[in-house]
Amino acid sequence: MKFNVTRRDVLRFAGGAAIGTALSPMPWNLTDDLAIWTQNWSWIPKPPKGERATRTTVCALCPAGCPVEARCIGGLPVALRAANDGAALCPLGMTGHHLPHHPNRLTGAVGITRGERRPAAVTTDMVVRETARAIRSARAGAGSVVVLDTRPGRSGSWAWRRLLAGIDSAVVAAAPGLEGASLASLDTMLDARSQSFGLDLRNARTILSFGAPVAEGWGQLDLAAARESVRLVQVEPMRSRTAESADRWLPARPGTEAAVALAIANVLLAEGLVDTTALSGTDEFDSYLSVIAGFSPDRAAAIAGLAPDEIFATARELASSGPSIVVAGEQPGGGPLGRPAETAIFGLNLLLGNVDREGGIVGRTPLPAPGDDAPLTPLARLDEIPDHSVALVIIDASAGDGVYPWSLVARKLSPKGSLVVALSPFLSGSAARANFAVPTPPYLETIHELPTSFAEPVASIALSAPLLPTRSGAVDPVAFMRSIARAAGLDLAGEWATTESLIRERVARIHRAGSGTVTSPADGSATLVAELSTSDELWDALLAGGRWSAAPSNTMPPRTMRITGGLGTALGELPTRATATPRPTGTLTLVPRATRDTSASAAVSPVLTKLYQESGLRGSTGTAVLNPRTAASLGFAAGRNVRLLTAAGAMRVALMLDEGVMPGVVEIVVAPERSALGEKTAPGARTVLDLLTPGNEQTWSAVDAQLLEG
Amino acid sequence: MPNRGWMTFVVGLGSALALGWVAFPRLQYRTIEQPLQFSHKVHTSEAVGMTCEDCHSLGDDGRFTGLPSMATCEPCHTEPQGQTAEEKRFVDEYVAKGREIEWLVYARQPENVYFSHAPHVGLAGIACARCHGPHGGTDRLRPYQENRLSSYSRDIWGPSPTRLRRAEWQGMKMTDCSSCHDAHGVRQSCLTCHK
Repeated sequence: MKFNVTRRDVLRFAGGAAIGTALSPMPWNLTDDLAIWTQNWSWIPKPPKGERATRTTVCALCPAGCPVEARCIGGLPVALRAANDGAALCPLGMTGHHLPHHPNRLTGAVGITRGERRPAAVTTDMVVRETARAIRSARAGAGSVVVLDTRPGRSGSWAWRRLLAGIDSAVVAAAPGLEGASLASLDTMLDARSQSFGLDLRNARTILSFGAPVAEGWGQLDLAAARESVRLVQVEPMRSRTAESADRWLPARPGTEAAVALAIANVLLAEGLVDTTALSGTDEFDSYLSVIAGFSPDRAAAIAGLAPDEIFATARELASSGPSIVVAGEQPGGGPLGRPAETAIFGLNLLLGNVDREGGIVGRTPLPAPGDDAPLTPLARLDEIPDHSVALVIIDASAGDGVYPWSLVARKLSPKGSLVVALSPFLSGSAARANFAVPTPPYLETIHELPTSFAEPVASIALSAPLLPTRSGAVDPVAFMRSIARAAGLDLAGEWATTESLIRERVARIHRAGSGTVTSPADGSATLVAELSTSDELWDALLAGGRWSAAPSNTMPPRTMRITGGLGTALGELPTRATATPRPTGTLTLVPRATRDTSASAAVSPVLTKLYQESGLRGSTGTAVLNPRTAASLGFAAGRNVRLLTAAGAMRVALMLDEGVMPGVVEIVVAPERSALGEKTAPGARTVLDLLTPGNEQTWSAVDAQLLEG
Repeated sequence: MPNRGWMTFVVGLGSALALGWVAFPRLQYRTIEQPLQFSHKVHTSEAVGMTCEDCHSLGDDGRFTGLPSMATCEPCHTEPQGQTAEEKRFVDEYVAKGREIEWLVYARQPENVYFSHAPHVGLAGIACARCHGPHGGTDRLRPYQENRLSSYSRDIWGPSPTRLRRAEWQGMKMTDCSSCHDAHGVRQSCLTCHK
């Protein structure tokens, strides 16, 4: 019998085979096996297997410096948790060990050109040469040199000042909007530099906070632990975690904090609740009295949208439940309140006699400098630097970053030519705005220093130990400074060549001084430095997570107290102007917001997209949040895409509705940026921060905005 | 031949079914013998009286010790216990030389899975046999069957290619974990097991 195979036979066979295959376990098993096979490709990194060990160190991702216990397998940190019992790390801290593997980590120096999708690889030597050339131009009169420091007070901060000491036009400035920036206003009022005093929050019985996230670690205060003894009054437009935790929350309209502070002063003086002997008789105090006379509780309450009784009650509580302290804070992502508002707020401390008093503003001996006593470049505030005058900006974001509108820096750059160089582990945040970015080792790959926080009543230092080897390509910031010094012909004496050797110098000086104690993170036990025979012992104790604290020295030298901070009657202009200027119909107040942790770091673990982009618990960048009543009045619904318009431009944003947002206000989430979460975005691309134009007071905490269709 | 059309279809169907049900399951796994034979039955017998936890215990910090190291075996096995060839090989090649046995672990999960024994054994009080079966009463270690593609043990999928008609303890896929969690009202999320 002849059997000719036809095309139809083949198709029938194939049809039967296809059905038979589908009815067998083979395709389903293969699908599963292939899925697992793709996880086993050799180039996919896998955590090593090995011995389990526990290391104690300090988190360096924000200035709080929480003690951290790292669980390591085969020498690789695989989990982080708080080292002290009962404490917990923030989401950023808990996932800090992911950051060395961040998708936007810099693996080599890059050159960034505006409009280009990707940065170009360059050599570190080339960046050094360009930087040295810019320094030589600056010395020849092309402009000034500014180092923007995102973590002031470190040994590295000192080294920048030492490096640039030979350049007349050079200054070192703190990056805008960092925690503690508002204390610069207090510097002026107390005629001092902020390193010489601290805030004794732990011993205060009443804390009046204007926007400071006191319940979220601001000022190193463990509010939960101090809850029995401390009463907190929070003045803040947003229902933040701190506002929720406060004993009294005064939801003042954004930008009206100064009016509330002046009205409280009005009550304190009108009811004779304070002794003004130390202040009276000065020109400043006379100006102050004339200013506060214009801010009766009724008027201030109308400006701020509060009940007058709240202002009376707060003033009386401050006077009766002392020691009390009044603080002005930088709302995370929202920056400082501005000098006039900060002066009005800190003025309450002077009225209440809180200076040089336990539970108030106390004297503090600064940390020893790490090097010689040679002259240093002066410290300055960015707003003190003339616009269009800077030829070179070096942003030291090697230890952290800040959230601020780039226009604050851009307006300082010389139109004749300027260079911006950033040192950062990540191509995100400040580094993405620079012309060149140089990679530095991230947290856990090198020693990071946690110097005295702005609010601490005594000097202190902690070290974050490296748990991983530094990846090839990362450049030590101090070694980078040495290279610049050589290339630019600058004198940089001293034998320190790396960040570690410089910090060792500082630790050796602390040991030589022989004062203070080291506190162990494990059990809280304190060891006197005088009992440690060598500085290596102190070094080892610090590397094991210990914190050195100086002996308390709560006395401040006598000083002139300037209650208007030199502003005189101009102190009252801001809150008056805020209400006097008519606003176009439909104008909202745009308030930038972020969580405290993400506003201190240029990168967060990509796993936190679950929290910031998917969970709905925290907003993602570019989400505008409105009160439902405001949305209804504008005819908008939740989830709608609208245009957000400010004086600086427009951007499309997604709307979310939240009863917690004040009517007439639009909250915009500014951090973490998409690049911070690991997304590949064009460096220097516009973000919502670019919609925030800082006003004359260098604040961007409340900006006029409109929401439009389309 | 009027039925020729159906015949070719049936031949195709039958070939695929035979390949999928008979040949593929045999090709899918390769069989590897354990480096040494071991009798759980002897150790858990009344004469010896050991329990699972004597060797596979939870540490003070909640960490599961996994397979016992030679340090656990050595105190009783410095000299051969009994007359078997495997016992003699164990003492000569491993105990005397201080070598660890490179066991092939039936229940090893893929790298992207984080599993902790502590909440399951310590908090929920689940018996070892619920997930590992009556392993503690066996006299021999069965051969390890390694998936040729994924390189994981057959115990992860379970013995049946269809995963039907299997005992409660057979299979350690994600669906097995989540169905047990669902049945006991235990909350779960992606990050519970995938860090």
